[in-house]
Amino acid sequence: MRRNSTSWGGRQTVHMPAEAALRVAVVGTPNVGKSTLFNELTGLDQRVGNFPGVTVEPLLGRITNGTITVELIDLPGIYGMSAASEDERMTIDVLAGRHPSIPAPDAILLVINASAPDKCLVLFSQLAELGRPMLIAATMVDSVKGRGGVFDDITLGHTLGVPVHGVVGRKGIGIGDLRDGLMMAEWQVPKAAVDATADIGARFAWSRSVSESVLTEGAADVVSTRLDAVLLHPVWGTLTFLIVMGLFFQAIFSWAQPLMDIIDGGVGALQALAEQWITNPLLASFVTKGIIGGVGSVMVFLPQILLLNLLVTFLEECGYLARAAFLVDRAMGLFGLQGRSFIPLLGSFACAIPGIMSARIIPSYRDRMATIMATPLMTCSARLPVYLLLIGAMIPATSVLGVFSLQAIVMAGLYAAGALSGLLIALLLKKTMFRGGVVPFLIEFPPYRLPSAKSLGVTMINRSKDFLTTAGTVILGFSIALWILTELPRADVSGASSTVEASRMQIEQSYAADLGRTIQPVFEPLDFDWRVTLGIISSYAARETFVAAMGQIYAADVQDSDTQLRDVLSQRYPLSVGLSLLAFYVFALQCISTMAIMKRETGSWKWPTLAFVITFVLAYVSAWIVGIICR
Amino acid sequence: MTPLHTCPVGTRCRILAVAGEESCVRRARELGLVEGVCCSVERKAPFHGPVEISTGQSRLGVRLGKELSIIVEVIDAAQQHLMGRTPNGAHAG
Repeated sequence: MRRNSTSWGGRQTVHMPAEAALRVAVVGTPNVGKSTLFNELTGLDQRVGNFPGVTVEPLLGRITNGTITVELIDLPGIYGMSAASEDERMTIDVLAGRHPSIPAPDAILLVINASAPDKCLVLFSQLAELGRPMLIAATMVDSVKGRGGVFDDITLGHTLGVPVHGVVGRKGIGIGDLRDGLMMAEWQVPKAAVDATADIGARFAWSRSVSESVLTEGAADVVSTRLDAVLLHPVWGTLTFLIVMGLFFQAIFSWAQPLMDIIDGGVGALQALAEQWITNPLLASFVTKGIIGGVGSVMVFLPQILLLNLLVTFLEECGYLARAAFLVDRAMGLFGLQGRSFIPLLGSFACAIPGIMSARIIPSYRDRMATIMATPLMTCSARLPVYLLLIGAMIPATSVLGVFSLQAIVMAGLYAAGALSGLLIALLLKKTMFRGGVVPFLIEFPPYRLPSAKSLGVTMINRSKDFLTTAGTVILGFSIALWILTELPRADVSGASSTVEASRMQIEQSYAADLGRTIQPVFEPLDFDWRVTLGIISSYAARETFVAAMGQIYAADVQDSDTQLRDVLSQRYPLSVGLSLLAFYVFALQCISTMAIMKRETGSWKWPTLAFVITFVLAYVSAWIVGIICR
Repeated sequence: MTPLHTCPVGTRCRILAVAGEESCVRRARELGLVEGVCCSVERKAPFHGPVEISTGQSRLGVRLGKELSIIVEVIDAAQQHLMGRTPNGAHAG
């Protein structure tokens, strides 16, 4: 079955026109360190590929020496030429040259794992049949050496008929040679490894024979074995998992806060400065509230996005994420999801935006979509100010059974209702829209390794850039639209006794108030008046804006404390309206930013629209039921 | 002829058949769970969660159920499972 070693040096080199950018597809099985290698090769010279009809846009990176430019496209990992998910289908279609929008590559850079080449070589045997020129990068040669083993890249190159470069992605070793190899187009068309009709068993037999001839395995990976004895232990493993997730949650929930406060402070200072400099009140309001406020509302997400991406990429690259998924798979399976869905859902308790971005770690398209649809129902931190205000205003501060505060119980109930409804929606979607084509829970446990700092940094910067340019522009656009609604037409505030009074007069005469009055009949069955409706409309900028909007409407100063507003609300509205409003806020997807990032990550407005409709119906019906019970 | 998920931790066995949904079976084969290959049951997640199998160069977490079932013949029943051991699967024939 094994092919005789042949020299690839003597075969014809594929010549490419030097001036045009050569397209090289970076391909490999999952967990071979492909992303790290891609980041090391291209650094910050990356952009998100803009191809129509693609679910997760692949990253494009460039390497150039001034005269020759090679464009690398980082394609999702595959095991073979049959797809189990949408992402894999994209890779396979691109390689086969039949993708509708991504052009076929001039050559393939196959990334293989030198310490476990079996599966990689099976993939090679299938790629070889495409007849495209190929170059191989073998990662983790250091871990083979470190355990006293030997990996013979020269023999492998001769056997396969393509050049093989040994690299250590996270240390940058061999990267220069590989870059030169790409630049000089030293790739070769491999000869067929096995008969094209060979089944997977025969391909494995071939790959094992090749692997045995080029790899002398050293000692077993004792570190991974020992770590797993603890980290996958039913008791210690679960405990570690809870601690890691607790820290993870703590990090995005509170460690990002100081940075967010700095951004808030900076935005506030800029606004004050602009107010001083600009004399025209309309222009001043537009610049401070519309532009600076809008940019601020985009920037304020950055600390959480940076932190969550750092943590998720770290957990993924060090090998822990696969173990965590193994531990929680059973629990997530109850809701039709898989172990990896846990991370985006947990992250969404801080903010759905980084949560949705982290859903990229879920390899299966259907599971990823179901998870993304569930994220807006996790109680994010923006709901907290609304909950605090309404609970403080409506729920008496008594205790139940002498121990538990009724207010705390209601708060916990709101969190539980959100989480449970999100999981049930995921289950419903998995049973209906995302049914069939089961992607099995079958994951490899990669050996534990320290992630590359450069690769982590590059990923964080690229994700943030991506957020700012795609979702950020949409969020800014909506902030300006909301400014127009709430600040125009200008009201005559000359009779106002204070600035608080002036802002009340302004909002009462704005387009938003007209809109509130127009839409109010929709909320009539829930007993919401036009003021509450206006509050709901303004929360589409961000949920916590509800508090500020209600403060404006009731001319209450909410700068220092919202006690005053709380008293006003508890006098003006009956308990039933307060509880209905709480029920509404638990479910409703009232966040333009979340919808913008959903569109970004799913590639279509269809999904955010569907999420909006589902959550609105859920919110409306539950608010109505709560209202009826309490009235 | 034993379903893999009934084998206790530490069992070494040879895969006789991989059955279930087509996509699952294909993925299992691509990951090296091919008929004739030796593997061993390393760990089981609590509450009938996924099973960890080691075969050849890889260690896999697999959810066994109606979507994917693996039928094996037991080579070496679980006598004493040593935590530090990494059994190497060998290809039959």
